[in-house]
Amino acid sequence: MSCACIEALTMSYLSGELAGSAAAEVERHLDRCPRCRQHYAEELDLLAALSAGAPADLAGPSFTAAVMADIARLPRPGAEPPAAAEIRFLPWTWLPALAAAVALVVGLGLSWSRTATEVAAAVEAQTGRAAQIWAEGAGHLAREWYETAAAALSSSQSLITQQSSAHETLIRIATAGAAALCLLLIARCRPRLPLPNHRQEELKA
Amino acid sequence: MQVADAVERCLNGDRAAYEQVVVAHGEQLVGVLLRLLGNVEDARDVAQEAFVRAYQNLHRYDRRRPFKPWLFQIARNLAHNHLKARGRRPEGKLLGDGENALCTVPSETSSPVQAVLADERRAAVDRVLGRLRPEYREVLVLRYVGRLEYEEIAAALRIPVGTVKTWLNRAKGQFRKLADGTEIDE
Repeated sequence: MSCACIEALTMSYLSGELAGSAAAEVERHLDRCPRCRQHYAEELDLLAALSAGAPADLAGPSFTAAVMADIARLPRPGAEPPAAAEIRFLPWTWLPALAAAVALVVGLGLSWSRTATEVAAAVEAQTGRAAQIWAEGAGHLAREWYETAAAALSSSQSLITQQSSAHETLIRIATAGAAALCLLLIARCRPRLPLPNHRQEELKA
Repeated sequence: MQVADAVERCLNGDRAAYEQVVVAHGEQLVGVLLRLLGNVEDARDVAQEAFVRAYQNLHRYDRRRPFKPWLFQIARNLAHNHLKARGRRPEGKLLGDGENALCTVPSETSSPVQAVLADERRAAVDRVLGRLRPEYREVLVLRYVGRLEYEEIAAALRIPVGTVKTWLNRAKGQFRKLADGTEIDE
């Protein structure tokens, strides 16, 4: 056995884990090799130093029993895990919610289209009127032109405000609908996993 | 060999065979965790969890390799998580923080005087360990408390054997200097 082999077996030898023949071979080597003898002596020294004052029986019978009690509750290693979440889509739960969500999206789109058209028509009408006044070249009608333009602007702003308010309401309703749909799906797709150990013990009690 | 047989029997459904694994490695594993965590209750809890995790993942363990480094690797990861979690709590005390929780470990077999002396020795060793760099402390503890060979330490820490030897040499040198009361260059 070479010095490198002896060094690689230090802890196994010092812990008494080496089989008889291997241990005898280590001892024969140590008898004739002062360098390895010195190495083993230093290792023994550090083993003693680092175990100084360490409490005995750190993992006694009570520790082993606690581990084995935990193990008893576990499935065999590599056994199939508990059945995955069972997803059941039942039409009477999710279809109405989905229909409501679709209706909300369509309504939102229609509402947007309608208000946008109204705004465009109003602005166009007022712009046309202003252009007509301008074409008449009546400088003295500048005040009327200004008032008309201001009215067009006010009308547009009013419509835009109404549109924003309507959209906000619709977005809130749509969000609530989507949340309700998610809750329904979660309720139906709840995984059927085993209860934690402490809950099982409580139920047994 | 006995542990390898026990692991094989566990995989074949003999749950009780795992007791042999726990008995074979329990003492050294708790000892290592005690030095790394500085508290006997935490060490036992983490060791217990490590044994449970190892059992749950036994089918993933490569049976061509020794079991002990694999178990210690699981325990080491759990210990690191435990230290991180404890570090977030103000009452948590890490190794080397001065007054150590180890001093409160009850001794069941020794006299009160012996228990006090043992506590002092234990605290002195922990103070020295606490001053080492974490990686040096870890290799030193795995070697001299966990009694792992170089290759087993390399497997447990997932580092080359050469690095293990280098760290161990530096760790031993610094440990001796600090134990003698000499300051070290950090």
